[in-house]
Amino acid sequence: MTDRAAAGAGEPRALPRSIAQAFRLAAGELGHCSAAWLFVNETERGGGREALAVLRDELGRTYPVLDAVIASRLEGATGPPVAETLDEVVALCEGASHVVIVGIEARFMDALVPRLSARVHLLTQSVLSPDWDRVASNYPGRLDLIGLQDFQRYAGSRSVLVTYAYGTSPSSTYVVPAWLRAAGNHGRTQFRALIGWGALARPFGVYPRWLVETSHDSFTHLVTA
Amino acid sequence: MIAAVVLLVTLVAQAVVPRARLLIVLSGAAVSLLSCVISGTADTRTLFADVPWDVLVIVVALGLLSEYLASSRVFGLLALHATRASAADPVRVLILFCTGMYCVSGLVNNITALLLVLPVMLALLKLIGVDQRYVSWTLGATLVACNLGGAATPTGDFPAILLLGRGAMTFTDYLSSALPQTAVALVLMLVVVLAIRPARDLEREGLGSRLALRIMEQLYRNTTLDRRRFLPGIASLVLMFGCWSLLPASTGVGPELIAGVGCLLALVSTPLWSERLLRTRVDVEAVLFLLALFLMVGAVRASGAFVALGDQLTALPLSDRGQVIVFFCVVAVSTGLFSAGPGMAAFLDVAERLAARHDPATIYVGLAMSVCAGSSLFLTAATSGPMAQVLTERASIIGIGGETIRFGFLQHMRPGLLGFAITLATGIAFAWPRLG
Repeated sequence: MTDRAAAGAGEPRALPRSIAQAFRLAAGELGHCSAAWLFVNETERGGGREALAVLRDELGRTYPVLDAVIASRLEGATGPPVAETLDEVVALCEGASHVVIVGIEARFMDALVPRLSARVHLLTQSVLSPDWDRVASNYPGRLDLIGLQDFQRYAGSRSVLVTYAYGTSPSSTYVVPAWLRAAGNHGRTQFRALIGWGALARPFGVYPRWLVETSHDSFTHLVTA
Repeated sequence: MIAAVVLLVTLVAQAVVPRARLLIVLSGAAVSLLSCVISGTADTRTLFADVPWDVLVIVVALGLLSEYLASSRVFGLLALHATRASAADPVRVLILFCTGMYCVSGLVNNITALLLVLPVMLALLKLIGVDQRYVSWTLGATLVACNLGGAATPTGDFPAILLLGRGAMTFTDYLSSALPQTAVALVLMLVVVLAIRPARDLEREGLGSRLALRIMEQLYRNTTLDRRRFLPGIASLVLMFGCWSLLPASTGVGPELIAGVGCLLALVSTPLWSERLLRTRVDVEAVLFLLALFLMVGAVRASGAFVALGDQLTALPLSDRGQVIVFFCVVAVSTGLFSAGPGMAAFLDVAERLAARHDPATIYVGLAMSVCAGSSLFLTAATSGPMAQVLTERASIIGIGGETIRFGFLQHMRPGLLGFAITLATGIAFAWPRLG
């Protein structure tokens, strides 16, 4: 269901009529997974598991990460797998002078950025058009914004590329489209490590719109819980 | 006469084709200069010497200081507090953001104020769920509040800066007269807008409001005030306000010198970053636009057209009070058609003639209120209007009925007319007892 269709229904509703638009904005600036957990927690607090089912019904097809997170929640998960994987990602970044992050996941970045001694850069590519300055303002003095035209300036033997991996299966996983541009054949040889950080272990139940499939060997390290 | 025609044609052309505004006014200025030189009315040296350069210094200095303060993230944090205070309730959002816009645009120029406040407001509108009626009234009222805030202080917008720069009024005289008038107009407008009940069809509480609040908190979750930029910026601003208010004119330290030195004091505290700011963020468009206007107005002044206009006004078969009211109305409508800069620059000469016969403060602040009213009349009357339109279109807001939300000329019409009427009426009501 599109934002417009979700907004247009007229009968009494368990969910606010602006919820699709609100999720899109949140997913753009917090990341699909972080926004999904925020919506899941607030919706469940307000309307219990029934409201979660309605949320999944209304937005699940448009936002597949949200669909998978609701499924995880209904099976007892309590949050994204940040704590379980953080140390490994930090260890992989150790000794690097530049860490370039592709894609936004607020809960993961909030945990990672303070632990890094390297300069951290965020690639400003997203189909959801976030307010990049607002995103960066949450990491005062710790995060630079860089465009695709600039990111190779930070390549080198002491540089690391990091992105988030969703819906990982034994052979492939899904990433934000910008990853394919940043970590293409020429980019792969220019960084010490290309890290996929598992934000969502569960395979997708619906078509993974907003994301693109990539094989495990597009990373030098795939860190999952 | 030719200079007056060139000015009029240029003003119409820049209002009709705002995308080529700068090119049009620069061409108009060139033609005015040529016509003056060829006709022997004035030479270019005289016309350039008549440009109020001090006003341009104040515009540049305050623009830079606005950028400096904005980089401290103070306005984003204020917007977050306003969101919390509103509890994401549509009515409270309208009141708080209009009031916030009024306060911010009193401190920094209108465009900066809009760029600081509107993105946060539009994000909030997307989160709380809105319809076309609510957006039209809320954004329209916010634009009027932005214009009122700009007129409230001598540093808020160009018309007041011009009065300050030309020495027509002192800082405190303007502030003490204009602040109460604009505050009353803002309250009146909010009362009328709320009586129209723009949020009558919206959800007022529940999960939507809670989610909106939580998301806004998350968007600014780790945002902190950059004290290294905020403290020098705010200290400079306070110092400038103090000097403008307290330093007597006899010292020879004019408002432009205070603005320039005050701004530089803030900039030198973060030299490397300030150097980049100076090289990239000086508002060249505003400076060129105003320079071209001043040259055209100078050419008209040299032709004696303003004296003739003033004579015609004072020859109207009306009482002194009636002549001033007609003047205010003409200024307001002209500003609505031609925008604030030209309105103020062109009519200040006429106002000076009226100020010789009435209380000068009443005439000048009435003039500023009329320009402010005209700025609210149409979306195209002030630069902030088209910018609000662009920002709203870029935000791609979908209404709760599934409709695409728009904010263009037509959607602004009703709140604009209301703002125009209330601002002009307030200005006239305050001036009335002082015009004998």
